[in-house]
Amino acid sequence: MSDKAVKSRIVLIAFFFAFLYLLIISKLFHWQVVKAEELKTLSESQSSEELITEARRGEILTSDEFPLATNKISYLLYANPKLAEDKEDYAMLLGKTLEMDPATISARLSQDLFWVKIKERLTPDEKVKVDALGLEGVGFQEQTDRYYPEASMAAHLIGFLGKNNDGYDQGFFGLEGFYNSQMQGRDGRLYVVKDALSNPVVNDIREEKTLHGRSIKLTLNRTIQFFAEKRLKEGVLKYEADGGSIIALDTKTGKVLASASVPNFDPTNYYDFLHTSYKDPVVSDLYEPGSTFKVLIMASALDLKKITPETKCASCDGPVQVSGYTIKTWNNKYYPGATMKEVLQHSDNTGMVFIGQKMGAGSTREYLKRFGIGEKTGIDVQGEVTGELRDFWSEIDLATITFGQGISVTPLQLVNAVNAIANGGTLMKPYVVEEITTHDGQKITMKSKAVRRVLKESTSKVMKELMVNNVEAGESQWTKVESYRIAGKTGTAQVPVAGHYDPNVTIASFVGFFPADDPQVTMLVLVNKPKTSIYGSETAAPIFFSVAKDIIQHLEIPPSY
Amino acid sequence: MLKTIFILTIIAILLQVANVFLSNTIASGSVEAALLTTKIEKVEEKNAIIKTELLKYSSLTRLASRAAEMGFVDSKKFITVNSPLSVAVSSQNTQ
Repeated sequence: MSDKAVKSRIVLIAFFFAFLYLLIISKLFHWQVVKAEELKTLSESQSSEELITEARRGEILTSDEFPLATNKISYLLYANPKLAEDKEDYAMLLGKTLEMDPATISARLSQDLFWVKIKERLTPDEKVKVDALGLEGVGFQEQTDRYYPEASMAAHLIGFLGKNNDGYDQGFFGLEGFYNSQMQGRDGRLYVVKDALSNPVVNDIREEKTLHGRSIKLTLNRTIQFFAEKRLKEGVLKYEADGGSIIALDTKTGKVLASASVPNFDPTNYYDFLHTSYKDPVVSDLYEPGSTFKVLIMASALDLKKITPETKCASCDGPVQVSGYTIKTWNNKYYPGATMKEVLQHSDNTGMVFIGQKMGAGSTREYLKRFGIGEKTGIDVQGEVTGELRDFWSEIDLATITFGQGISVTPLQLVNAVNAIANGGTLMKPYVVEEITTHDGQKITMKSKAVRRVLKESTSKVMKELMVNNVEAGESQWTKVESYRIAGKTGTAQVPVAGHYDPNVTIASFVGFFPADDPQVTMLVLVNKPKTSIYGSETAAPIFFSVAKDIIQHLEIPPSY
Repeated sequence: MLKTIFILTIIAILLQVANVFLSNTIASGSVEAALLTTKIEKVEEKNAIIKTELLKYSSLTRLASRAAEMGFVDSKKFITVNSPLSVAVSSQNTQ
């Protein structure tokens, strides 16, 4: 063989090997770079498994530790259509068991897929029934659903669990919204290396611990809440009102004992209700408080020593003219020379204008600020709003504000302000959550917080007596609770409609506390646009006293006399 | 030389046996762990279902409606004792 032939053979072999190397390199590139992720995932799925342990959402418990919001197990039913031989038979059996249209099931089973969803949220009983059918290719996936054992109890306060834009669970409104980040927890991950038979290798497990959500225990008393809702619903029906609210606070601490509003919604099926029904009227609705506001003005004037209970009204003998407007009493009756005690008892607007003029706009605004009017209470629920306390008041503004018109508050702001009169003169920060339990069982206790002193204790005592007299001798005396000294004040606020006040459309209310000598509960009842009577003394007051009676029985409060 | 080879062979065999034994133990442990995990899951599932049932039956909403069905009615009035009354009188006072 010539040298040339040898050389050409060597070159040929060299090219052959070079080509082989190139082929190997390109294949390696394909595997290690192009297909790297896919192969890595495949290898991991064959030799190991990542198990995700869903974090349990924290519970919301009442003060007696009964859950108002908890979690329950349900099942997703799926099927492999390829294993369903007689699809029509499958559909008929499942349809009959689950009370579903067999045609819907049949349509799902006719898809050319390995996995189709048949139904979500099966109860354990339904699962047992489907299991008993013994259908091939049918399986269940465990799910956790939010469960509200007391149905719509305190729905506005609790809020609901929905889905965010990414499809993940998220709490909305109320406590579900406010404490969402604390209650949702963090999913855990378990990386398990598997043997050839797919059993986990026990000494090769890596774990990211599941952090279950924190549970929150409320100050809410379930029994008081139940009665508040019951009486409110009965009252709203009886007085043909559009709705109403009740909020009850623990007088000394500012704990929320009950917070009820109707109409409410079902947190499980929240999507069946209008979006507007989700917000909590107690913290998110502003209204003109009307005569219930008079107790704040009178307490301020007493504290400033501008008046005493015996001070006589110098302008109560007829309608009062202020800046060209005529101010009348609610029933057009006038009491010349009425004392301040009588002014409150008769809920006399002209007497309140007299007090306002004695105090002046500056002092009145200053005291209302101290009572927390115009600022949020800071309660731990989502959606709290506040009305504005304007800096400049004209003469007519001052006059109307003294009887609670031309100023807006939330029900919570008003009851919290009156609570300051009840507890000896201190404005408290109302709160709903009294204890948070972390995933490892640690308990974080919330303490009550005094915001500021509003009144002198002596003023508070005098004001309590005036409010007790208001119940004993005022418009609502017919409905009071016998043997108990209860302090209170009715309110009938006109509602602004299209720029003017409609005298037949009112928000009737009653605010008070009991027992007056050592108050334990401060409560406000609002009835929105009652039709049978527009007055607070005939609508809100009876509801207030029927709830008061329930609370007295439940808390075993001894009689006053 | 033969002695060394013999000792090394024995050690190799012992190590092999130990390996088989340990692998077997781990494999049995793994199966047991899998069974226990399944058992725990089943018990937890049962507990959760029972808890849900219990809450359903003890809710005030349900109790109130059941009470109404059974004929219980709200008491409209309650009685208060306004002044202390003696519920027992000592024998000395009666004489």
